[in-house]
Amino acid sequence: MAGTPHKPLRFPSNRENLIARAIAADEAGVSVGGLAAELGMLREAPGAEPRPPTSCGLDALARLVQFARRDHALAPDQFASRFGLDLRELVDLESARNVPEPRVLHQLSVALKVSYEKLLVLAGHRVHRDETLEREALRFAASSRPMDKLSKSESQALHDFIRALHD
Amino acid sequence: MSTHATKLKHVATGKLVDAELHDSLSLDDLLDAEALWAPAKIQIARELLNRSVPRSEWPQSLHWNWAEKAITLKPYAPGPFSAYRLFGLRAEERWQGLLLGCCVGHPTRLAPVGRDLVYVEFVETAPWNWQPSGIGQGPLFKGTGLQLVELAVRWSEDLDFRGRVGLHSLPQADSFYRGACGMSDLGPDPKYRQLRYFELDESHARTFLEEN
Repeated sequence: MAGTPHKPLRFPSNRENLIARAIAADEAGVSVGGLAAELGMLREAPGAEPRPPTSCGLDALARLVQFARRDHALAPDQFASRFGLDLRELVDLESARNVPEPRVLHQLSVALKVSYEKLLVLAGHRVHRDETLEREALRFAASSRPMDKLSKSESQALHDFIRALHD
Repeated sequence: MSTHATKLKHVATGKLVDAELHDSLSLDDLLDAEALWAPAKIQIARELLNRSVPRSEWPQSLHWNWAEKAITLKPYAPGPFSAYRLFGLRAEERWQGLLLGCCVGHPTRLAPVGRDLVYVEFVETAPWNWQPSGIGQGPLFKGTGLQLVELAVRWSEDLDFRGRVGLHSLPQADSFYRGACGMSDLGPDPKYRQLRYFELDESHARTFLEEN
């Protein structure tokens, strides 16, 4: 018990049966996640089938957020603060690191005045075959290099893509 | 710290090899294990990527990095007077698996409800003992997982908790705790990211230790 020193564990003289069971056991996985959950090390619902994003959906989302932020001339923390996102969520979005949670996408849809449903599709939360959206996302994802200020063509690409994301 | 001799099976040769159960390790031992295990995890990740194994089939603890969490682990530091106790299984001078248990704050959910139990915060085996699908790697040793759980059950007995043990399993390990360990599956726990909660009651603890 806490507050008293641990006593050495006691073992029976013969553990052969238990060792045999241990060796026979299927140990394909034995990991326990209580501590990992408490420390925030479970990044996504374990075991849940990862939702396949559209072929370039996450990249397009990342680019969309990067462009929109630059279009507003806001630093990452300012953009996150203005639109109700955590800075970490914004950084993850811009780097296409994880599939963003629906709540984050909802905040984004409000911020950019675009369709929440289409953002869900882009992130892979909704399976919905939309060839036009896929084509626009691909074109947009491939449209720019990171720069401080949007070029004229980037600005055009951003506004075209936002138009494609409207309901 | 005390040690107890045991055996593991070396899968390639089919022979039993000498191993040791350790019953009071420190946080440093966990970090030592991490230092040893991390390169092996990276190698597994590389193979999984090279072979385009679907992410859903990757070992679910592959990305855990305890060294990164060292500061937040401090409150969980095991020690002679701590509620936490770190156990390990060692063979060929390397940690083959570790288990961190806690003896406070997790009352039983099975009858008798509300009693003390040993809650298993963490169990992990060395990456070379994993069998990740799709890359053709078999385990180096077998027998680690159940013997680690045995340590938690024996600690529970020593504390007069009658072998009661609880834990939240990762999905890939659910069948191990339900089957090999004989624990009761109490379903997904929303407080733990929907991990399933398993509990070993007094009767099944006796069966586990084969003391019936």
